Amino acid sequence: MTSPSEPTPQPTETSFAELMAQLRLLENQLYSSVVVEQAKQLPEDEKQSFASGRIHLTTLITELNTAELASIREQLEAEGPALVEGIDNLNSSLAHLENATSWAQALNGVIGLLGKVVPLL
Amino acid sequence: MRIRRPTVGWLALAPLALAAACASTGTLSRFDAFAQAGSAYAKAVDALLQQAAQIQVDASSEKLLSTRDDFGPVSRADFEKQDQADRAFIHEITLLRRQAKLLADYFSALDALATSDQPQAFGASLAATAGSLDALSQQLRGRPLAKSVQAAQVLAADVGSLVVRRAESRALQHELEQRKATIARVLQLHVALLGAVRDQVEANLEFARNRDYEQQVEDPYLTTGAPLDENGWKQSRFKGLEPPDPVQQLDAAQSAARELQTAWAKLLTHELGPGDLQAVTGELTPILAALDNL
Repeated sequence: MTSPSEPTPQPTETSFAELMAQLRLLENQLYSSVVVEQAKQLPEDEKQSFASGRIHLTTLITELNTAELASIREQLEAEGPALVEGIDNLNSSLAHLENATSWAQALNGVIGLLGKVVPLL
Repeated sequence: MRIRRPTVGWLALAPLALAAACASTGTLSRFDAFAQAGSAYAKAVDALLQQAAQIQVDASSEKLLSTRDDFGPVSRADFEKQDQADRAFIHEITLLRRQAKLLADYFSALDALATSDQPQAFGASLAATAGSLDALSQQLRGRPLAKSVQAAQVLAADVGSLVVRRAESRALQHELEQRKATIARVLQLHVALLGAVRDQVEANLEFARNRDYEQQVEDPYLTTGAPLDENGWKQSRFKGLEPPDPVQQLDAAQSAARELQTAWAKLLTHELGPGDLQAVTGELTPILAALDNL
């Protein structure tokens, strides 16, 4: 038993991975032909209970898979605003370069116009 | 109106222009190469996530069908719970693909800036300006701007594109410095994500593979006296023992994420070499080819 001053042990990534590995192993065993053949010998209500319990385990594993991905996705989302800012910065730098080129083109146009006007002076 | 004759200035800048242009071009090509590797990586991750959703739903469908064959259909409530769980999984994958898309967009923006044709466009505009100035100068003062108009135009183009290329290079460097930690963290999370998806896909494929292995390998072998197609049996046994393609692809993508992390760190310290990016694309090329074929 832990004393009040000791921190409560937190579930670690490894323990989650181990739990998932055990649940997946159990699920595989429940779908194996050996276990299925034995379950088929059970009385009807127990057989239905076995089938229902097995699909519940499949559903639980699916939900845990989703939760595992959601946890990583939430961390990725936390980085999202910085990525968006980066995209905006890069696009803005590109726009500035395009602007510089358009200024150069405009200058060229003005000089060209002056060239046409000067002979008339 | 007096027009300055910048010919000496252009010529004095020429050696500097060439040397600095080479350095800037080298920097930009590294950014460009990195951005392309990053885009290929993001594309592979997106396709693998999509594939993972398909494998998840296929696996639960197989289990529902197997239960129906063995014990009759599950109850409507159980069926709907599994539907709901699969729907939530697909939704989660959609959200993750959105994050992968954001990373792809970042690499695309990086690529667009690194491969922009603005330096050339700006240089061409300045060259045209130099030509126009010369014409105007002749009209105003009866003297040419430079001895060789063509040479002045070439120099104007070189120096003009250099100025823009340096600005481009600085903008990229500044942006990457700002995003140093973010991209490193995102790639680290991708390593974790691809590891988790890999384990899920492996487990999801195992059910169908175990059943196939039992039917095509174990049963024919253990049933003594039954005829056995030895070549077909050997092929089925090998197929059943080697890791399935999607798992190998996810392993390769996870390695690519690690290689990309290394390349990213080297890009920021100017140590990025072609070998670093070849390591990334080497992992991704077979994945993208296989996924394109699907």
